[in-house]
Amino acid sequence: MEDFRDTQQALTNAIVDPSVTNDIGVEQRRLNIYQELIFNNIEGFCSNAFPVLKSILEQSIWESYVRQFLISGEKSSPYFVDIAEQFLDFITQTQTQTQTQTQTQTQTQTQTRLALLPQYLLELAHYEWVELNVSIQENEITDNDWQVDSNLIVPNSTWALGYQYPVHTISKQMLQSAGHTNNTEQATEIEPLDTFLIVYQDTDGDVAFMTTNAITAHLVNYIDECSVYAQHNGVEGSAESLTTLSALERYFQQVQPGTDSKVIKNFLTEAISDFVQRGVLVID
Amino acid sequence: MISGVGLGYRREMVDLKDEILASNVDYIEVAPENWMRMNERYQAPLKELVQHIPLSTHGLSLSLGSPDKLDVEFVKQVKRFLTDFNVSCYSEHLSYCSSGGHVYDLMPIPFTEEAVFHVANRIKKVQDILEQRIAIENVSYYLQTMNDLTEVEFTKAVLEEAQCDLLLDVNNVYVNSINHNYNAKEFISAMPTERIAYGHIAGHYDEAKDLKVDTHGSPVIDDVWGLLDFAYQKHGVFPTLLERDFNIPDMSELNVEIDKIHSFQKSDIKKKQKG
Repeated sequence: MEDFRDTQQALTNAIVDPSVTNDIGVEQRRLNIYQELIFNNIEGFCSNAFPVLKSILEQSIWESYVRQFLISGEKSSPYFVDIAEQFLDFITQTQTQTQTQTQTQTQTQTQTRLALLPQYLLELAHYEWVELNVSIQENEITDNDWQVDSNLIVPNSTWALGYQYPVHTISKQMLQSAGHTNNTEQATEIEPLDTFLIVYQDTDGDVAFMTTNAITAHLVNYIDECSVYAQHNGVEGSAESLTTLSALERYFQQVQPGTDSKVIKNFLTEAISDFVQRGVLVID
Repeated sequence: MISGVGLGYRREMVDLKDEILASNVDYIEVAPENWMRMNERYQAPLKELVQHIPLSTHGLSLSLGSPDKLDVEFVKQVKRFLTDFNVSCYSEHLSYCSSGGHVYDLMPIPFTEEAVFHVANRIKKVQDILEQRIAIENVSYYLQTMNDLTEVEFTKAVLEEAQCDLLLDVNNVYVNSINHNYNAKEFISAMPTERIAYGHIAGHYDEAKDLKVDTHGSPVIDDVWGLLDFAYQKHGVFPTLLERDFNIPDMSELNVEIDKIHSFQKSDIKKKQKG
């Protein structure tokens, strides 16, 4: 007798992949209901999370990504809010897999080959996911009275990011006015531009972003590394802190040898006091 | 404990807070998955409401009938949510939504004896972790792969084996009675009275004459109201909740249906007393 679990898996396969021949002995019209409900549901979550990406991609490309994501079976989280991250992971992994397949010509028959996405769209997808992720993090702002001996931490709601493209300006309109079409091959012509962004929750808890430069983004990421290091090594207290003003000055003097110490101090003081006011950094 | 008439609460209803509190809604219900892992700001409107009105929960992702391993860590997270929000009732669906990964929607468990033991064991495990009895809902389904047992036999066997409660969804009974050509009243009558913890009612979509889809996107139809009335007469009045997940109308429109459940509850309690 057939194991009911095998039957469950066969039904799931038939639902997620309409190209599979319906050999499970159910009426196609009834199977269609599940195929549509489940695809539309997951497509809705993906389009809510990646509205700009969806608007730029040709509908058939977008839908085949969602379809293959649904088929992929890598969705292990019971939380709907995690669908976006799982979809982002799927998109990213697919690029390397598709590239390898193209090079070696060993693509299997069963797996539909997805169109490779240009780098700027992969970065856009990441940026859209970061915005969603920031919006659901707890707001950790408690105190904005920064002193030179304060310990700083980067809250979970802050991301300092470096991209090769200006992801925060990309939109369908922007691409159209730049003469691009929906065709992703042509769209790869977009000019790279090193872009540094900080996405954070402001003091009201709203998602905000600011453009910044490499060294400032590095400051935020370095402070984050320090708190991770401190957590793992039990380093606490101001004496050993790595994120007081003087400790940060020493660090930046090392990574930027030859820079006037006053310039470093001014840069740090200005950046940190601004970031603490905004909620990019919080005082431990 | 919950009693009376409830309303399924969604984030889209955030502006309806005062109207919900002013209405005859006795309790609200949420899918914990939609509120867990969210920050204070997202949770604040719900926290405010539950200061005034009891909360019940109706899970979506537990996948009780799944061939995949039970997500014990997730059950523990649900437990924390129930504690944090002071929730006494937790229900889930008699279905599965994952098989080699989640698909985030409800699929029908094959009606076999083996499946009864499989799902019942998982329910027992969940009840052990939560340290409370849970209720399982009869779900709408549009096809069935294995029919060794009838839906009545399957449902009753799970309730018995798992020693859990039933969330009787009368719209789902209606939808299934059309989709699978059985008598809705016979299904309701066959359910064990003492296990019916509470009920759900909702609108559905007519895909075809013989195929209805449980969408929660339109008003409750007369035949389904009739089934609620019948269920109350058969089993006594139980707390009942209106689900409206799509095309959410003004509160005034929802109040018409909320008050209709109240009026059935009142008249059926009277009938019972007289009878």
